[in-house]
Amino acid sequence: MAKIVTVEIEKGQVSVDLAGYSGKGCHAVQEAFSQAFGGKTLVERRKPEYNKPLKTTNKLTR
Amino acid sequence: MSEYHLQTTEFNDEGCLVDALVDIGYDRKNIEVHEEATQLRDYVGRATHYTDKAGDKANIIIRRQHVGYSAANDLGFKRNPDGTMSAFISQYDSGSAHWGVTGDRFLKLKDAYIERKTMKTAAKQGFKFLGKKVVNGKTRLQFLDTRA
Repeated sequence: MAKIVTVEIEKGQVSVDLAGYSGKGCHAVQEAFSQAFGGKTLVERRKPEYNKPLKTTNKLTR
Repeated sequence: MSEYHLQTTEFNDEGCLVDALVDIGYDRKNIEVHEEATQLRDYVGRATHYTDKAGDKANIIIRRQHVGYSAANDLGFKRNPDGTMSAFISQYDSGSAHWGVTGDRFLKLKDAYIERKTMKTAAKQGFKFLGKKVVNGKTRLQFLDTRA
């Protein structure tokens, strides 16, 4: 299914919304747009769950 | 004081740079594009030699009378061997109210350039442009990824 990519530009900074992508898809879109940004100002935004700390199964025991 | 300094930029597409200058308000007919770099002049029309004894020369030039404020020097962009463009900005013009790289004008040019370059790159890469919105100074472009 075709996906929508949103690019935001503000004060010389660029961000690309990669929320609809995962894995290789993220990389492919990043690569596609890197020519435009010279790879310097690109900030990617991913699915919010990527920013959450990983659940750990380890428990501290006394 | 109008001593020129060369400011490196990330601009590497002359067409997009000229379009961006038009987008921020310069008349296309007042933007000179020279295959061979051409002499820049200061606020009274004197040829300058600050960065090069043979003369400060640029490929894209907005002459002082068209820069947009009084006592301006020519504004120029010079093509480097690596394809990037360096901006000739005089000491007088490098204030943030004029053409300083942290000022409004330069940031607007940078945004306009990025927008033009993004549109061009996206089209080349198979993304279909859906629309543009400007909200609180932030430009939002949407594309449909038709590659599959």
